[in-house]
Amino acid sequence: MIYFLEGLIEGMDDGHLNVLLIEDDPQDAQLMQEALGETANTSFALEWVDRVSKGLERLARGGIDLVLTDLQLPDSQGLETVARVHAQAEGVPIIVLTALDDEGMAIQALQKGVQDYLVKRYIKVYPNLLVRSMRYAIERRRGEGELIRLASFLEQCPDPVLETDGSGVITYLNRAARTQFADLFGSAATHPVLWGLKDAAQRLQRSGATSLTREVPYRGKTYEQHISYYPQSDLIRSYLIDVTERKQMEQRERELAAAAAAAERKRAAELDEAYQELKRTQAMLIQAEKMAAVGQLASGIAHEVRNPLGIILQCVNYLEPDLQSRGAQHAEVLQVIREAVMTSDKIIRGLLDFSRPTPLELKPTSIASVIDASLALVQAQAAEKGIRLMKDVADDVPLVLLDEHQMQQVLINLILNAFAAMPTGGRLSIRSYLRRLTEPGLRIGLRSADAFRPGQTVLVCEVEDTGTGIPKEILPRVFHPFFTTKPPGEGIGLGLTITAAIVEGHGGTISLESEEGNGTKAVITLPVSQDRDRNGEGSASR
Amino acid sequence: MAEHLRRRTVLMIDDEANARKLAKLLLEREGYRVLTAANGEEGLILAKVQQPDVVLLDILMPKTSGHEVLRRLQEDQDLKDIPVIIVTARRGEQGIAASFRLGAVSHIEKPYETKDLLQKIQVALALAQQEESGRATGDA
Ligand SMILES: Nc1ncnc2c1ncn2[C@@H]1O[C@H](COP(=O)(O)OP(=O)(O)OP(=O)(O)O)[C@@H](O)[C@H]1O
Ligand SMILES: [Mg+2]
Repeated sequence: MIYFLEGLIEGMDDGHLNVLLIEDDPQDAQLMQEALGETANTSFALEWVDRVSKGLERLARGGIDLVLTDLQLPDSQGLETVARVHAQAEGVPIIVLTALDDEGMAIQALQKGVQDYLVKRYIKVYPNLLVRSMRYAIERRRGEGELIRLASFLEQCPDPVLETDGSGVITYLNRAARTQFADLFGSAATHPVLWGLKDAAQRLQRSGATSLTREVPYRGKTYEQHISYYPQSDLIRSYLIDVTERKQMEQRERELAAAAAAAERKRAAELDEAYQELKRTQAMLIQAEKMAAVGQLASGIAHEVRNPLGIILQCVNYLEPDLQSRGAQHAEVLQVIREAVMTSDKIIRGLLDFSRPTPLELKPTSIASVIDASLALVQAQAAEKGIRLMKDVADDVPLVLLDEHQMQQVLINLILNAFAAMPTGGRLSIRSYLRRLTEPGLRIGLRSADAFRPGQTVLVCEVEDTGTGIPKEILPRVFHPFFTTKPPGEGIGLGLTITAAIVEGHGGTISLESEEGNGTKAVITLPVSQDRDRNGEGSASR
Repeated sequence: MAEHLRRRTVLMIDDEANARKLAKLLLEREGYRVLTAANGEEGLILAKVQQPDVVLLDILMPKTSGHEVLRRLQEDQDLKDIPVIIVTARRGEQGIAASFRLGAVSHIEKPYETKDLLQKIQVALALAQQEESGRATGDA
């Protein structure tokens, strides 16, 4: 409430006042004019009439802030004048001017509601007296008006206001409080709006805060109760606002927001799923594109490049005898040229093999013999590098339809990769066995997943090393054409691409399982002929 | 016999001028007599006229392809016994298979080391000589 008062007081300092002077003596009127003229701060607009009747007419039109009136006028005498003016303009302060220094009259006038009583001859001596008096009169009058207005303001406030003393006894309820909390008087301290008020007051006093707010449920409604405590008068005042609707709205908004958020999340999840799907498809398309591009490139330029490479190599061959005799450096330079040619040619060959894979010549073949042939080729290199070779082929492994030559290329590629991963030696194991698929064996680094159905028997061939392993980040890329971690000249990144193409050409799958630091296992699965699959060991493959 | 003292003649048929030039330099340094032809027709005429001991034949040539040359060499009674080594930038076993079917004795892919080519030439010459002496005894 305090702040409201502050707001109202502000309006008082408006500097311009309309003053009505009721005076039948022109000389006295002149005197008043002069007295008012002396003031510097406040500007007064003086309107002069010489009869009460005229004054009342003027007052009826409004806009007068203060009345200066003589008591003895031709059409009205004494206190009657005051009464008539007061009746016409209640609330407008009146200052009585008189020629007499009559105490008795003065008191009576003041009792009638007159603000001040001035003797004219004093004004003549102290012109300021009039101005000061007028200002006080207006201010006093305003103050009284405000108090009345404020009291009724509080009373008429649509929100409940209540006041109790420090012990919780009600000292004031405004109209809203009386009607909205009709049960307040009987129920005393257990009533929701009174409950805990004393504690609240103590808390406020301890914390030094001016007010606190709590929510009070009452008969299906919710009130916000602002509580303040006035220690000097030991009064607790509450201002209550019915926030039921607001609360309901907030609740609805919260529910709506939650529903919207849930819908949003769902939509986002769906979008994300769709996006992931798109990305997967795209990745596949990109891969396919890459392959196609590689193929085109290969057939287009390979032969054009191999011819000049051949010529360069011939040049090297031609210069060799002469230059070798001229020192080691010359020989070295020639060797560099030769190696560059070989590397270029390796790339071209890789491209060609990849882009136009030679057709398979499938024959019933023993995988054990292919493994043996491959191991025989790398034996010397393994010994040199300190790598132990292990072979384990299960007894029940049947002959399968293979292109012996190409499958050997597959194993060699895998073995050479394994060797490269074991620069300080290690163990390379090749295993082959039959496996009945229980579930589609989805593994990381898997190359193709859908070739086999559960229940089918496949031939598995594993090449496992104890090497460096493959970091998780690059594992998905090892099958990509030209993906290599080897320095230029040592690898071109087509080994696994070609390997996969050959295995897939056999209707098989290949995947790499690897953990960085823990070696790598390449797993090839190849179809076993259906006859055998159904009849068990007895029947021979075609 | 003076046979092995005779300078062996190599006929190279290749549309690539630099390839011919280099082959000539290298093989002559090894003691061969080298004839070169820039296309199939020229090559066939040279073969007929000069009767080389061995033919180095490029496959990918404009107009008359290496395979065509090979076929016509085989058809010619005078030329069919001359061993032919296919020299090609082409990759792939299909091409090789076709070459062998048409009667080539050997095959080398560009780029190659001269020593590898020399080895193939020696083998081809040795085989041809064997066959010739076989025929000679058979005829006798
Ligand atoms: N057994 C393995 N251990 C560790 N890393 C491997 C293994 N096999 C393949 N990799 C990784 O996969 C990459 C691709 O292999 P890929 O065989 O396709 O190409 P490359 O070996 O680099 O070159 P090349 O074309 O000569 O085979 C290798 O560079 C290597 O980083
Ligand atoms: Mg490799």
